[in-house]
Amino acid sequence: MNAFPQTNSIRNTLRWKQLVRVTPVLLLALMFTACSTNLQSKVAGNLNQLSKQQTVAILPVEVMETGQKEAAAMFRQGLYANLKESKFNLLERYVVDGLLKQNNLTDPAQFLNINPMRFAEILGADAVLISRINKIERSYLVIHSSIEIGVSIQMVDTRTGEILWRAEQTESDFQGIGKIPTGISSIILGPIQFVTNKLNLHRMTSKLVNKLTAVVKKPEDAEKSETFEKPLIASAATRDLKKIEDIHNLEAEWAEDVAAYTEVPVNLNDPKENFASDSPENIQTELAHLTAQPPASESEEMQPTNIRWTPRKENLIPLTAKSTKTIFAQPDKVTVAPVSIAPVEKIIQTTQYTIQIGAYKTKTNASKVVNQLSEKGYNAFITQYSKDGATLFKVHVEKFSDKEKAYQLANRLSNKENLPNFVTTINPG
Amino acid sequence: MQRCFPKELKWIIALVLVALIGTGCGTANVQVYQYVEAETDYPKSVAILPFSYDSEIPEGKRPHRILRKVFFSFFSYLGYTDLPLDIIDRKMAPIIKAGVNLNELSSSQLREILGTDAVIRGHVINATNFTAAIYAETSIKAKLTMVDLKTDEVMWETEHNELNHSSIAMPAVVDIIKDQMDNFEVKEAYYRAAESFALKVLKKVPDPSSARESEVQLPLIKSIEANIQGSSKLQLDDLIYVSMQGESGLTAHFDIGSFKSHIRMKEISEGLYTGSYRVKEGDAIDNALIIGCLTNKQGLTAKKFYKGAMAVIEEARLPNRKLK
Repeated sequence: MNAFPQTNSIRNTLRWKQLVRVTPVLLLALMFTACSTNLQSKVAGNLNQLSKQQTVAILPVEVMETGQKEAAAMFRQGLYANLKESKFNLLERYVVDGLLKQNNLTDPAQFLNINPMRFAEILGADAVLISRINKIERSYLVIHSSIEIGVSIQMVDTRTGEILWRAEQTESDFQGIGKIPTGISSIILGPIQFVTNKLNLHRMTSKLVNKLTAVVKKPEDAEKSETFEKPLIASAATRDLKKIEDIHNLEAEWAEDVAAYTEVPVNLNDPKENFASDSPENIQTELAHLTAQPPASESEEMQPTNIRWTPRKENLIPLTAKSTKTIFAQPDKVTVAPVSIAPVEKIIQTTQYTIQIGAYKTKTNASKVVNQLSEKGYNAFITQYSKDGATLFKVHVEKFSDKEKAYQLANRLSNKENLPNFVTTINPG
Repeated sequence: MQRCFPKELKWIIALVLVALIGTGCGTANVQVYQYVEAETDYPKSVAILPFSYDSEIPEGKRPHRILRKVFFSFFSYLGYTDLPLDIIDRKMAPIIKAGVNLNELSSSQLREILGTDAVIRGHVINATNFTAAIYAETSIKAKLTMVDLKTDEVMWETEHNELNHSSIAMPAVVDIIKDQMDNFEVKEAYYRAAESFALKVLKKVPDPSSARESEVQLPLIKSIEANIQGSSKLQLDDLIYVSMQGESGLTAHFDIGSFKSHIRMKEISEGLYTGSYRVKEGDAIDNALIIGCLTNKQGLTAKKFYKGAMAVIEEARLPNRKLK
């Protein structure tokens, strides 16, 4: 029996009041001391376009120090596990690693400098995920220990070089006096346990990946601030795409410049050189060999025929912008049906290659060169080209269905006749 | 004799040692009967069968689906070709519907139904999710077995109890409160336990990745051609025609950058694939490369870019379009 019920009641009230005072302090402590995350993530609108038809390769993770390798593996495993639930397919790890090794790409530090298009051809993936562990910092100060992990990640579309997702995240947690230890021993033991137990790093990595990948699993939920304002192309891709574009432009410009400034050669026959073997008859015989396949006339429509496959030797050398005749075929038939890229009437013709020797402002000059070449036994002809109201008369030699043969003759013309030239497709205009 | 260390320091060292011993726990005991290195015909494709559970686990607290899903997600990191869960479920649905116990199915029957080299069977023995004033715990105890369907032999098995708990024994009050709050979310708590379970078990499961890396070979694409030219712009109704030469008898398609993908190509003669795309109204692309793709029966795809030109379509419109 309690002799002083009133005193007890007062004590209880005081305890409750104390608890009420302590609770907000505890909650505040929770808010401030819980592990902190700093995540900056942006996605591209095109990330939404990825579906189960597209495959993404998660590349090995770059580390800044060798001691981070285990964490990097954990991080990559976490990425695989989390992105398994995403809208796209993942290329299996052993496939990615196997193909990278076969192509001597074993250093993740190189990955950002490689054109994503190369990854497409090496891995067959539609996008690659390139990531790096920026830091793993463990600190221990007797009554306080902390772990901090920093990662950066980038998903690039290998078909376009577009950055689909870019993020940086730092996750940190600590143990010690700031988390209100449960006892005196905890003040000492807690920080030691926290910093030495591998499971804590595991838990933090897992938490980090969960938060990091949330936006990729549901890109439609991304807020405006989390979306790129305009498409961003990876620098390695920009560089190489620019190269391809430049090659196209240069070829077109070069063709025009050469055309505008070609002079009539003084004499095709250089007396210093022995042209005994280059008599018109010999040239005719050689040309007959080169042009074993009779060239089609420019106006002649190609009859349906079996597709003749001519593999491209060097893909970086494009067809010039001016050429418009191309090999076409109906996809469902073995035969080639005549169609043209012009929308009105689709006519297909095979690509004809020729060697352009020069272009002249007057037909007289062009004819002079044609005559000189004809005398040497070359099958030379003139085509007319108009641009900005001006007309140019281009001098060509021969027509070939086989680009290789055109190059052979081009070499001969520059070596033996000292004639600058280039191989081009025949301009029907 | 003089004292080497003060008494307090000895006490601290003892505590540190106890703490270090305490941190060493947290592994799963996996019995491995077949190692990848020793087996030339090690199973490559695996199906994770639906997990069963002990009937004593209260309804609503059965984590068998969560454990299977999480285990599958992490298992995919290993070098096996894993059959997606939805495909497994679809294939097993008629059998389950007929009331057949999956454990009664023989290896040959499973192989016929699923078409894989091995299966993983799982049984959740116990599961808890409990939160009290100063104590919270979530646990999953399960037995997993991987069986080689060709030989009917068990390759590895484990019985592991994953326990996530927090109590007054925890070093910080803040962590206790936080863990208790977290533990209230039953599903999330089970997910966390399942994740730890999977990670610990998979650490000890044989991984054929290294052995398979050298086997990987993409289909061969020799060359690709397209009819588009340098900087010419495509217009409505124009036809982009692509032909590709490579390994015969495979599946082919081409992409126009990321604008259009999986445009079917047909093998018109041995190793020669062709396909086309006609520019439609509303199509608009800026400098897209044509990409030829060839896929083999293992699902591996090779890609090759046609770098001769880039497709440019300034928004394709019908001429003299009438407004309604």
